[in-house]
Amino acid sequence: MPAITLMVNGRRRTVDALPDTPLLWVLRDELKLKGTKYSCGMSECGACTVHLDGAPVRSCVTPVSMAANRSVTTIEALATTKDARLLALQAAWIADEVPQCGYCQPGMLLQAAGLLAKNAHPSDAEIERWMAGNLCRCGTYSRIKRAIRRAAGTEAATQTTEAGHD
Amino acid sequence: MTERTFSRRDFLLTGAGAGVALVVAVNLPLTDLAAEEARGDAVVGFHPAAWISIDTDGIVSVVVDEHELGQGVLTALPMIVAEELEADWSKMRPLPPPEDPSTWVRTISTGGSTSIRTAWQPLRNAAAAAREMLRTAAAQTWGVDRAECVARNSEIVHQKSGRRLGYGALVEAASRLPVPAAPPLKANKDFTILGKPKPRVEIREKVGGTALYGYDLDLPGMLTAVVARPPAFGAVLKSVDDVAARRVAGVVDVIRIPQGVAVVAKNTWSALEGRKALRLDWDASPAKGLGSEALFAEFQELAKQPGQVTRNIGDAPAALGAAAKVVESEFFSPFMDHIPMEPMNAAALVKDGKVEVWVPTQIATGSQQAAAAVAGVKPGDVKLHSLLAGGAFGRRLSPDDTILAVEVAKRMPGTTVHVVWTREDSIRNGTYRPLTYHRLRGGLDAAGKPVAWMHHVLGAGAGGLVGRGDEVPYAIPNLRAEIHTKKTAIPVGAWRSVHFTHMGWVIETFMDELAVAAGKDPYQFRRDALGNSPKLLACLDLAAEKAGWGKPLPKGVFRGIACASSFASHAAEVAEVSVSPEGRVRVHRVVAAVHVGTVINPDMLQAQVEGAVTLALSYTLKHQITVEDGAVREGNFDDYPIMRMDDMPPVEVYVVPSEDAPTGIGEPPVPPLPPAVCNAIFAATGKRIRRLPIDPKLLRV
Ligand code: FES
Ligand code: FES
Repeated sequence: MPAITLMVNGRRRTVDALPDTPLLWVLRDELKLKGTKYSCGMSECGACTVHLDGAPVRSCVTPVSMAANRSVTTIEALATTKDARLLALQAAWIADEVPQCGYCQPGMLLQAAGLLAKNAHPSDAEIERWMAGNLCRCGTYSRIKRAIRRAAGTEAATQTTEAGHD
Repeated sequence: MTERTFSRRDFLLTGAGAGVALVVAVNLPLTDLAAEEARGDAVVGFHPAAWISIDTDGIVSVVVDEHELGQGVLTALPMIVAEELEADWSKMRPLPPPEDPSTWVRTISTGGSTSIRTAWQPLRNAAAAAREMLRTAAAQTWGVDRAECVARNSEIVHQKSGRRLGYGALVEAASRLPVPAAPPLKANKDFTILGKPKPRVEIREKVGGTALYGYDLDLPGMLTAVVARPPAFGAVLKSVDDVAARRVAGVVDVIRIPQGVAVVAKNTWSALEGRKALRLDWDASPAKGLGSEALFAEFQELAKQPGQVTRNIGDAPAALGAAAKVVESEFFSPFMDHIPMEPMNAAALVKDGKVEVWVPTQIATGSQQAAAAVAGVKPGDVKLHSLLAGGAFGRRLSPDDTILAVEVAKRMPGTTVHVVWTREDSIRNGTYRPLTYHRLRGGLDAAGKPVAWMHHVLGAGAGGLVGRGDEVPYAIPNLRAEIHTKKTAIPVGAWRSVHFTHMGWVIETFMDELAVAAGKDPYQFRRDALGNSPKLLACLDLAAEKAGWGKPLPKGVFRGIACASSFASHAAEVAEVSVSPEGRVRVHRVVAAVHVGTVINPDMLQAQVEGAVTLALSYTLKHQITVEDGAVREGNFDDYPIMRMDDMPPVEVYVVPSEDAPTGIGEPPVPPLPPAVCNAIFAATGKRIRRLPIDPKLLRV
């Protein structure tokens, strides 16, 4: 099996893998980075979202060869990151008590970070459009939206239990 | 079921671990819940046990032998303890269900929205007893009247002198005291922890990527397997050609098990590639003709004959005959899969007559028993590690995940094998909410009052899952419910809110039809018939008030209302809906009012309602399982879609204030949602939804 080198969370990693192996399984099974989740395997849910050179991708349909010599960021980067956006998102996720089971949340956080990197102050409609491919069976969508607004500084830090009409 | 109680009813002085600890046994009498929650084929108990220990550094450990599935039980039960114990919240340490089944004092199983309802009184009693003993210990230490000693924030304070001692320092003395039989309990008005939002205890792990779920299991030497399952329920494997599969890099073995063919590999991708390379010949002929449409047709025919009567009040046929107006309806409700985000999986190790299982389950006891049966050992020889679950919704009440893992592992003794299911495996091998068909007849008297109600429910599963037709909350003088169940090869199980998923929809849609036939406002019509259900009535009134029932709406937007009592709780919901000319349904707002007695954690209550509404919208608008010739047609989120962020309306949550003992919130907000939406669609279009999920084609103008 060919050796493939990637930068994962700032560290150079070399793995032996068939080139068409999805990045998801290389991260999880070879590099033991279990924070990136599997749920659908066909780009339908976003649970496996990581950043490739700073932009969110679905690692379940990204062949590892595509990540060769590129920079991959996974949820584990949160432990050491200085990326203010990612940290603000994480803090907002806590403030808004977003997770229920939590399984979708690593993908949600990385997807949201990708949005704020492009658009520091997204509107509700922009948030919804950008996040629509990330599924949460527990139904945490309204809190995710609120947390993104909070991280972006576009939402007063209050609990909005009485949302208005859309 | 016989009554079991915690055997160590007294406080124990233990010398283990960090040293002396005050261990409070929680006496948990079984309630009459068992009958209420009989879940068809898989009858399970829902009886939490927990015990509390305070050690010398003041840390309070609470064993929570309920599964944390996202609903927040790991936070809620310790809150109850902390409140009554007057403990500092930062000192509370919830512990997950213990791994050693010999320490389990009762069935470990989480379902039926029972975790809080059953733990409430026993946990309070135990915590209050500990608090009183700590007070006595302090009073004796200081030689003062215990009435002058108050418990507050993990300390006993002598009010006159201002002296104080932390709980940790009092543990040893307290543990020698007799246990008060009936310690005083706090009044709701004195609560400082309950009723206030508290973040979930595992929140940091869940937003830091460090929370590890079943799928994330990684044990030394562990192999990963996937199983090729039959293409249709009841299909028989005729031949296996695994030559190519065995040649796939990383594949270790290919093993036949009763459920199919397992490909065991060094990693997930190799297992998946190996399975792809299998050439299997199945005989699917036993499944021929088994399908959703065939079942509906059969039930429609069968409904013409009488079923088994499950409830009979007055004389419904006679009252129907004498009614001024009669309404007749039928409803079709499909199979549904739970589709938690984490697909099914479990790992097992079989070695020297002992079994170890790692599984993200909601039924540790059932998993342990199933593992023992498959491995042919005693339940006591099974050690069960209950792992964090990425959602459950009833799916993990069936131990088929464990069974599959042990089937493979017992053929590879000494090796830990993690059997993972893909999304397709999970959807096509579910334990579905049963398909049901309903026939209803209702009668109104000359004044438009409902005087007769007949409901015949026919379902592809056992009665506990199909429902009994007797869930009607209204005071109707003549009511008859009949049931007809049919066991098929399609596996069924409990789905979040079980039979109320369809019963709520059917009963509340039909109630709306009666209101329309009576020429009455649907809210008032329900009010008038809810005389015997004051709690549900309070929800209905609150939801109607908050939604502004009767007030003008934006053009094209219409309201629907519905309510249901389930699992000892009550909920009413109002949905605001518009329907486009193409038949596209858009839900703009949902207002929910619930009655759950005393609220433990309002933020998690709100989250549970938001989640229940989202889940219910998904099955109202989006997904169904369709079986054709024994095969499930759907396979992933593309053909079994769920709500997305851009589909979701705002959900407002209101609570009827109450100081009653708390009930559950996980399931009760589900049942009113589908009928609230369907009734709003009727208001918008004049069309009745008789089949879920809603087919936009039928709403096109
Ligand atoms: S697992 Fe990759 S998008 Fe669902
Ligand atoms: S929190 Fe459970 S799937 Fe999103």
